[in-house]
Amino acid sequence: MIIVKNLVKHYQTDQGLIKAVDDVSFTCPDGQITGLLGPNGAGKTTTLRMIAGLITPQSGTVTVAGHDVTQDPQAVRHALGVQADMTGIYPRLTPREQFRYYGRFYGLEGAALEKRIDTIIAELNMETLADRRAEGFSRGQRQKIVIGRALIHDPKHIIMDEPTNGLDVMAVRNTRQTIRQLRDQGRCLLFSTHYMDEAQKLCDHVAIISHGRIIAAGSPAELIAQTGQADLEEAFVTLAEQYQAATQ
Amino acid sequence: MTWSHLLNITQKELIDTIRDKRATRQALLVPIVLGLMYALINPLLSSVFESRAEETITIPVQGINYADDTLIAIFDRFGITLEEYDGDDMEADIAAGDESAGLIIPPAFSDTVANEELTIIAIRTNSTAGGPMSGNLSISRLELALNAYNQTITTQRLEERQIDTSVINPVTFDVADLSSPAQRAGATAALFIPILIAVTAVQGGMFIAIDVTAGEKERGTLEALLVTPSSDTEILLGKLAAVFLVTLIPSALTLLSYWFATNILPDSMTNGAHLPFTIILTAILVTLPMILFANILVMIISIRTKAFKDAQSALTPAMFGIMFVAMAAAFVPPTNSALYFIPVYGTSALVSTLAVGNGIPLDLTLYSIIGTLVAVTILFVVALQLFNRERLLYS
Repeated sequence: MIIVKNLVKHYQTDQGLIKAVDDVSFTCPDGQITGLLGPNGAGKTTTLRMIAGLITPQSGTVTVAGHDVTQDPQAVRHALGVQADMTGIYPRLTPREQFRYYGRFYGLEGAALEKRIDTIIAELNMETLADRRAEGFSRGQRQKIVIGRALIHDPKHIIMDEPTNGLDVMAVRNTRQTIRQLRDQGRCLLFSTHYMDEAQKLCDHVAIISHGRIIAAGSPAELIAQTGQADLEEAFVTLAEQYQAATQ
Repeated sequence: MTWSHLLNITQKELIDTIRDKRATRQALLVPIVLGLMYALINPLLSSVFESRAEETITIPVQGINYADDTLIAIFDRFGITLEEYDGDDMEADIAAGDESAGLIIPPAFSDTVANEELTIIAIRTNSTAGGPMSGNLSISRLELALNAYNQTITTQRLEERQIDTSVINPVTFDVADLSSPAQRAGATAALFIPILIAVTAVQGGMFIAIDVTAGEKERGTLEALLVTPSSDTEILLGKLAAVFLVTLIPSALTLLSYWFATNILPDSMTNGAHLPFTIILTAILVTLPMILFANILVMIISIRTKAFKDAQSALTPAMFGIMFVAMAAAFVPPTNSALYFIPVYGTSALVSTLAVGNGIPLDLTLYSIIGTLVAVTILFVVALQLFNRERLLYS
């Protein structure tokens, strides 16, 4: 389980104080897909980076599998699989070599590592790509490497930052299928997206973030019912407008 | 510190670099060419000078009819043919670089000399004519010939008066060059090797240093690395180790190709000067800390940039800075021991001394190593500050 409580991250810039994340709280239960929804610049990536221990929050806590990210970041990193915002790969290495590289950071070695790599390759249908250098791979093929390296240590908690962003239709379907499989394996999944239809199709639970604050949370069906709209996109717009009106 | 993380990073960066044709070419080909070029440049220049010196040159003369036979014979002995100038304005031609030198012999020159009266031959020169070597060589030879003419006339006059020529030549010199072949090779190497080492220390590891820092940002692989359980120190050290190991190859290759070139050239070109292998080997060893210094400096600059090209631009001043300091050491050696503590300068001065073949004092070697390693430690602390996860993501 991932528990985020009262998370705050403000930046002082030339334009003044930016409240990137402002008192954000939500919980991601095991065996469920939790979506962090919001437009670009809402604070999704900053929140995910604080959960991953890449950024230190000014206040608030994040616990992953019971480990506090500020007190025991190494334990959190071991417990988490992260598909980051930057989805680059090493073009001169094969997918297998890239999985081996990341696997070693988690203490995997020898036969156990090779077995895990084979499992990942099979799960992501990468058999024909596994031993080819990644130079020239399509976006979808690259995305498989990105997801594979996040899963190499078989984490029970996975966070994904806009995992389908920029992918073609087939790659999006494959990625969504992978996310569902991971949920069905009992893992705790948190992913950010600004595609409302994607969130509606995939998520068991969503937290809507706008201007660094959580403005609503619940299952897609609950949020749709709460706003009386036809789908999650319309529900999101309604909630955002209500929040804006309330804060003005 | 988890050593397996560090080794994992180093191993991956090395494989990644080896597979990069551009980096491999730069690491292997450039140093070999550079070493050969620097080793050949001095003997080749000497060879060109020598062959130029043996060539017959023709000098235009205004008033050649006034020259006496002795003058013409002496110039001929020095490989200079005098011929009547047939243009309109000899000085203008020389100024324009069409001729490197010309003489103006006054009317009644022979009679004036015979009467033992003072006379003047005007010499007009242009040292840049036909390239710096050509012009300077012609002028030097002309001056030698005129001195010889003066000497001959003076000797004749003394003999006519039955005065011993030793009156005007109280001392003659018996000169012998007692330098060993290694010392003669080292004299050139003392200038070139410190510069070569500085160039390869910066240039040799530059590609991989950028690739493991700015390259990670540009590719979008940095964040994936930062979310692993490896610490900032492990990541930085792992990358630095890879950069250092890769830099060693071009650094060693440059010096080895320099040594190879000085040993394969015929004695006629090198004047029998051969650089001993032990000097090259010692030079490689004493410059290891300086290579590490250059590596970490390059990494610090690269960390602060976002893309490969940005890093290349940002590194240009650093590269010239290090080269300048190395050149300063070659041309202006340290005047006291404390100066050996200065990174790059101390090491370059040490290598310069070493190249001459006189051996290097242990205390100066230690000063150079300690000074450089202290600087490396300071730079490492700075790099660690910059390699902070949050700062990296938003820089």
